Amino acid sequence: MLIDGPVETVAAAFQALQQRDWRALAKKISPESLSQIQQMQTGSLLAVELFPFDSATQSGGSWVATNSTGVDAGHERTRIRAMPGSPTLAELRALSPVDFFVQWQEACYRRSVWLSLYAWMWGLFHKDDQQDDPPAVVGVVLEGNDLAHVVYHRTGLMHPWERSVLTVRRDADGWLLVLDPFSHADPFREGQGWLMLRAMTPRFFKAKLTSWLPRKR
Amino acid sequence: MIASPTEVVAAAFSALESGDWTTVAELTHPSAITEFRSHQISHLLAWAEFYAKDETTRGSGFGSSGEISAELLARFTERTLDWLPDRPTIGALAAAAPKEFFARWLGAGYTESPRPRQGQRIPRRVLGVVQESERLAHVVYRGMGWIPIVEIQVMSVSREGDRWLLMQNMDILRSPRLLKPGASC
Repeated sequence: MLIDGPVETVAAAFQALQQRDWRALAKKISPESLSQIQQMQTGSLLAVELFPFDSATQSGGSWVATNSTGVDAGHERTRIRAMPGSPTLAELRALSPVDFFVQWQEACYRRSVWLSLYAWMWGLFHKDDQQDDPPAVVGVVLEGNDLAHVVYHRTGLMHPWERSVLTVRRDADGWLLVLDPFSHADPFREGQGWLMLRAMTPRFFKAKLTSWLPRKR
Repeated sequence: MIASPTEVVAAAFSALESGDWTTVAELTHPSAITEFRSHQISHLLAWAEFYAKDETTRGSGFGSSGEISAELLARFTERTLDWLPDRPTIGALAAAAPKEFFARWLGAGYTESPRPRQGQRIPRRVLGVVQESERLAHVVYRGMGWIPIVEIQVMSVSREGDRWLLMQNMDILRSPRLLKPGASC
């Protein structure tokens, strides 16, 4: 059986992204990267749920820290409203990394009235409204037999000459993407900013409106 | 024989590690130097304008466009950066030749920062190069990112005449901290 090489793997991942075929994309990402995405994203989504918007809008700022690697004891039943069906944190963490990835990507690219309003207010464009060219592979640098770094071109960067890099590693299943858990600069996690906006926008407006209403003494 | 993209990038990393800012500037493409200079001086002017305003009306932060305003430069040309070596004025920095400014400012960025020399003396290992065209190549290396983990980076190089020169990236570029005028370090 022929397996894809590093360049073919990254090109197939770009194609899956372009087609919003999240299961096909998940097949090109290493299992440990998918697990890391699940851990970190559920932590971020919980943080947004716990964020005290009402006090933040009154005091000028606030912050919430969650343990994205632990079980967040006490919050297992917290509903994550940014995700379709508002599952609990425990339900999201019980999903397989692939199933979580698929649901999370679908949520990232889902439209909503609130989001469109927010985007319109701030002059932003929803990712699906952009007519970017798909990322394109430029070349590859091998590091040993089982590690490769694929240089690619994408639109939206500051300079026309600027290129990015993705790392792929060969294991028993072939070449798979290894995504940096601390960097969200790759094209496969671009939608997460919109998901956070989706989660925060209705609560932000609600808190703002509440703060404008006369307070009971 | 001209130096290859990987040789030029490796030489720049070596100069960076030894604090040879002039050589880093020599190996950097003029357009990258021009852009860096413009952004940095624009930011300095925004900083000076911010602190020139009354504390009650100036807001909580400042930003810059990346373009050098002649009006602001004339207004704040004598503003001194007391905490930097030789206490330069904004006017003196802006009047320096681009390469001289780049070397001086990059050096100050590595030495006059909250964490001096962070990211300067770490091993950056060149892994290989992807040549995109006759004038553009991308050198892939392992290096230090914004957070303290080793990660893969790309340094693009552009051919200028018979030399390959670095277009630079945020792994390498630094700028010194900006203190409140009158404050000491």
